[in-house]
Amino acid sequence: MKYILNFLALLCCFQYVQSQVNGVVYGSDKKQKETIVGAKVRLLNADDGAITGEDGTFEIILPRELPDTMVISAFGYYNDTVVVTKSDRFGAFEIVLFSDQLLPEVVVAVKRETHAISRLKILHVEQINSGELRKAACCNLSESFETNASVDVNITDAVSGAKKIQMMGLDGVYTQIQFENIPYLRGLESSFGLNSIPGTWIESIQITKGTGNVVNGYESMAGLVNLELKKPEEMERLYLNGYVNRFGRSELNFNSGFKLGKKWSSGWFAHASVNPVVVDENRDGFRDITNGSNFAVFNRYHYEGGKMEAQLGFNAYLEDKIGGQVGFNGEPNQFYGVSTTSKHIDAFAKTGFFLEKPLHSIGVVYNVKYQQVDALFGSRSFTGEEKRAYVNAIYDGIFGTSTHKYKFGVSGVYSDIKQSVDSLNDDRLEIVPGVFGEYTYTGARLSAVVGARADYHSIFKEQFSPRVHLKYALTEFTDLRVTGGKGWRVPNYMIDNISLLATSRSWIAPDSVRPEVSWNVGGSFVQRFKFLKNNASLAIDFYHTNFENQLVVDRDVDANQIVFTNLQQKSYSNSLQTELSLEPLDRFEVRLAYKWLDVKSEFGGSIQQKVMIPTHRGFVNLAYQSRNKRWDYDITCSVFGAARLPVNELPSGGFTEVNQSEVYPILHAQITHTYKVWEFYIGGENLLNYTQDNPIIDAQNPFSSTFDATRVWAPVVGANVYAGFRLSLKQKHDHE
Amino acid sequence: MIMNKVLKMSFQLLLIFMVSTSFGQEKESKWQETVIHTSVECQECKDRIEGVLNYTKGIKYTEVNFVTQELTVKYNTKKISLDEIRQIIADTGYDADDVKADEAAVEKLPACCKPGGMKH
Repeated sequence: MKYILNFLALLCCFQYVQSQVNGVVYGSDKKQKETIVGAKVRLLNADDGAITGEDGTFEIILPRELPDTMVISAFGYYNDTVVVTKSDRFGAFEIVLFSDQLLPEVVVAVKRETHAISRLKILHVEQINSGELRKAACCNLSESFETNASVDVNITDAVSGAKKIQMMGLDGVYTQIQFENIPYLRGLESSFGLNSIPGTWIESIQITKGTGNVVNGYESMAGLVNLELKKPEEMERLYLNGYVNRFGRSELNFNSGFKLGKKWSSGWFAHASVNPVVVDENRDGFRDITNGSNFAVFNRYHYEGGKMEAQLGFNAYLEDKIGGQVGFNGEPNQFYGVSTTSKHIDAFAKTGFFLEKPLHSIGVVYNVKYQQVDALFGSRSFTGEEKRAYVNAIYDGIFGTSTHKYKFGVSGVYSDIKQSVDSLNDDRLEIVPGVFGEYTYTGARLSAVVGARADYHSIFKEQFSPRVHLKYALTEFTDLRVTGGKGWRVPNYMIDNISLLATSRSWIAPDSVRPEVSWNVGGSFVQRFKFLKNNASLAIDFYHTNFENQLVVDRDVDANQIVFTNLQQKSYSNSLQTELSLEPLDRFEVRLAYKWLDVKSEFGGSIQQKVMIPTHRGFVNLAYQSRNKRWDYDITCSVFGAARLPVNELPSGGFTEVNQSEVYPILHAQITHTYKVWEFYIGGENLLNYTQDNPIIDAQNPFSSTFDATRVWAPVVGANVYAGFRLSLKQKHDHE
Repeated sequence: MIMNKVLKMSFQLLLIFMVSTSFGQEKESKWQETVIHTSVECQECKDRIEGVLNYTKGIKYTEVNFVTQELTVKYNTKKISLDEIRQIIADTGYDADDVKADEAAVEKLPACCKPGGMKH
């Protein structure tokens, strides 16, 4: 750690004192706004320029002689000109270019009304683009976070193969996962859902730390992860991906997007994956990796008309997995077996209407879903069924100029969820109508988003969630953000903790299920600078989450029990993360991160650190691209610190003596080689071959009272090597 | 400490990668780096030219800066000549120094890439 700190201190001396502006370029046709990739930004007097990157952002060094004229141009849009003065050295530009499909008179009218210059995103949002996603094999969503320090992906037990995300040391259920702003992977999907979205479908991921916006619901307590899948009009005409790894897992992905007439476009996505080979490298008689298959299809449509825009889509998913003892074949027999079957179908629609007044629009989002999960853990079983419907209507507008924006709307959730574990039942019908409003102020240095929502839950009555986000540009290189707000959710203690069935500890159900309510406050500091002529940045953030109520999962009351109780005393999480990004050589990027987690609650009668949460975590990512862009090398190494473990009873009669995990490293690496339309990659995971000794307690007697497969804190399998290919053929666009 | 060990190891691995990519650069004599002035207008043009030249035999790398309209190319003089490279650029639809773009190819370019396409 000391070395990293020294390194940081050293870096600060390298800062250039040149002033620079950054910004983001959007394209707008009527009221829709999207970032433009590859827009040209040029300073006329200084004869210097920049182009916008994958997320529409640019950075440009300002000349000594100011004012200068900045011209922004992009194909399909009217050019825009902005005069840059000395006062603009602070902060960033938000430039909106208007589609050349609009009549010039309309554009002039809109421009007079709007403020062309404003500031960048107010919330702390981390963007993972397709380039970043290519760095790892990314078979599914859980692997997409491998090159990211903010989101942790953990194995939940040694037998079911389920993976869960964590933000700020808090379980993934406290992070709201959205599919294009529709709340997704919730309820029954909170445990196995990450496997249901193949990485090849994803265009980008946005990670917001803290409570996020109020517009898309009340469930973001620690953070918000939004997934953007590939869009029909931009995605590949044909995309094929094949993958195989050392353990016999094979995958095939197919995507295709095309136009259907002038206004419609369609996209098809299909995924199949099988894992037929039984692997037991640690010879404990249990499969190290689950066997089985999963299939997913997704079909989406996009309609672009004069006054309205619409999207709709359908998605179906089926997963069948078996794990447990090698002799288990899926049918109940004398062996300890784990089997999970998860399937869902869902449909979504989005409609947007542009109003006569510029920058005013109405959007309505609909989603219906049917989900079924059945699981068997030895002699214990789980069944779950969920029917869900969601509607959200949003009105977008401005007060006078785009300095003052507002959104308001109504939402409704219908959720009929039935769950049972052995003889316990947890059935619930929820109807939650809600209203929300949000105001955004975009000033020269200070920007703010103030929002609140009120929901009325059919069982738990009213809940009010206010949220505030502020951004202040300290200097032209430095941004300060502060956030605070409330989030809540109704826990499903069965599916949220389904992995804890892989133990002979008995479950003690809560006397009542009450909503979990938390307040999150935090902030971030982002410093951009030049290091060896290239862009570099340092980000430090800290968040504190305090639970008013939480369904605490307590493994410390008794070594033979797992007790679910509503919070008695206090429960909180403190999370500090620092991340340094550098480009010491052209096309060679280095990212270093360190995370400190302090997650405490009442366990076994005293306030102590939550089990399985390492206090310290370090992360290094090195990426190099050859000059002809045909070779990509990527290495990621994470080091996980020691974590507290629950005390377990041992078969010999005593109790576990070491109740702390070891410090361990995980190393991933990948090489990608590109031909014109082909791409080949080879990579490895857990290349230092670190595995946990005896991940399963009393594996020899899985039906005994001391069996436990949930005391897992490190990988169960050793080094993995994989190889794959991607074939991508672009869509042909008509060039008028 | 483990952190140290890991850092060291990653660095070694990286070195191996870098060395492996720089093989072939040793015989400096036959490799030539040149800057060609072209009529590129936008990102699309950059992708087009790099997409053609980076996969052409004898060319080590091509980098297009469309703001300055300059193209940097490193090539093997024994396998390809500068004139041949200019001709490839012209056939793709762009001027290359004094070689004018092939008109038929220009016609096929998207509007933004045609001469003056970004000036609207």
